[in-house]
Amino acid sequence: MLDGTGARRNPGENLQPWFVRMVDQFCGGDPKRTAIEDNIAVFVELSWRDRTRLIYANVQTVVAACDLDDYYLGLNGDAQYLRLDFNYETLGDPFSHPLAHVHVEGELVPRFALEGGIAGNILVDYFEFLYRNFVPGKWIKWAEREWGREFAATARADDVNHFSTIVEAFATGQFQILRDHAALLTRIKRTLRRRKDEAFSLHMEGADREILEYPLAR
Amino acid sequence: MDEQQEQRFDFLRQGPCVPVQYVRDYYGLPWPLPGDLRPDFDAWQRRLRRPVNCGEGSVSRYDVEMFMQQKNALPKKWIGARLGMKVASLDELLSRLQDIEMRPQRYVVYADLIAESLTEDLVPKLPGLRFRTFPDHNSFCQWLHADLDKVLGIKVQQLFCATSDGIQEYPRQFANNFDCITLAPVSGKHQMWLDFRKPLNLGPDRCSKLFYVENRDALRSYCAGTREPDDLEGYLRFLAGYQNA
Repeated sequence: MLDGTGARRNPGENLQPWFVRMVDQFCGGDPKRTAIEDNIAVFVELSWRDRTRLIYANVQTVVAACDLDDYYLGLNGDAQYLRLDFNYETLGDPFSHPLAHVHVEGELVPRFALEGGIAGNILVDYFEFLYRNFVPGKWIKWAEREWGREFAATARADDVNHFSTIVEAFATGQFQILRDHAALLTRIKRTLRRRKDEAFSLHMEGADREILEYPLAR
Repeated sequence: MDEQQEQRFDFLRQGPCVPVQYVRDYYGLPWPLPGDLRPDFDAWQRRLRRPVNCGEGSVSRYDVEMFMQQKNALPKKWIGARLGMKVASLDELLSRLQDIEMRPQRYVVYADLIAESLTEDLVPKLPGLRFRTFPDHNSFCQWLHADLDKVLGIKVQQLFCATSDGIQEYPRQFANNFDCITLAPVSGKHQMWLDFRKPLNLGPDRCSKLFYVENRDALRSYCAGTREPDDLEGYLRFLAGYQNA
């Protein structure tokens, strides 16, 4: 169980000693207990109400350039730190603390709004953000599988699944092909949104995100 | 277009049938197919509901590509391009897979067809690549080649994009595909897709954007999608400068 104060990275605290402190203090000295991938560790604090409504989230993340065991032992010091913050009590100056936001490298500013508009499923969106950026191969396989299921359930006999065309268009920078598939991309995004929301039901109140959204996107 | 390119353009737009020499040149596959590959391909072709009879000396490229797709495999020439290397270097890498705890049997589907998964599976096996993400194909190739040298001592013979070289671009772009008309290696940056009414479940036909603007009148109606790429202006400018020089 993390305790909010002891788990925080102190100002000026170097990342690797902080990671060691966290693993020793909360995980019995075993870095793999923090791992979602061999090189990605997360420390998660959540609060919720009525078993359904997420009201607080803090996800500290270390993305190491090596296996977490090696990072813990100091064999390779390269790593990135990110932190997801979702907290109704720290609102800061007007529109400086989007609900939710991401910090990088432990600095207080700037804060980047978590992608996803007014979607309430911020935890899964944050983990998806990590996978899209740091483990893209796995994310693509997941997306292909989920879209494949949707396609199989809804396609007519002569329909062709264009998912691999889209992936290839991304890989080779064919924006005009993506433009032609804009409607399909929206369908894929909607399917993935639905699959994520079905898989994890502890959501924040999505409409609250709009109150702190600035500038308007639409 | 030179005469050979004209011929290729003609048969590509006419349908699936291509001369066997095209299979050799574009896919880098020997023809007749050697070893186990030939009976397997023939048997697979016989099971097709609507087989295409291309006649003596020709073959359906759609069938060739569909067969490879079903086997999740690609010719060595194409897999090499995905790794930014020439076939000789790919051969060297294949012969050393065991040294990085990869089973060659898993990747050498036939002597001339290699599993598509090779590219992806290499990444976790090479220490310099394992926890790295790559912003583009060039970055992937640079790291891959450096690590193959460091770990296996393989000095990769690199495969560069002919268009990138043609316009004397720096840094040079690694190739990752081939132009279906000129047969030259082409990078993602300098390629565009052509639509010869090939079945949609097969990979796109590609050509160099430079080649396209040189032959725009002939190729315009085969440009994939509803619009041409947005960045053709630069190639037109290069061409105008080259012609005026």
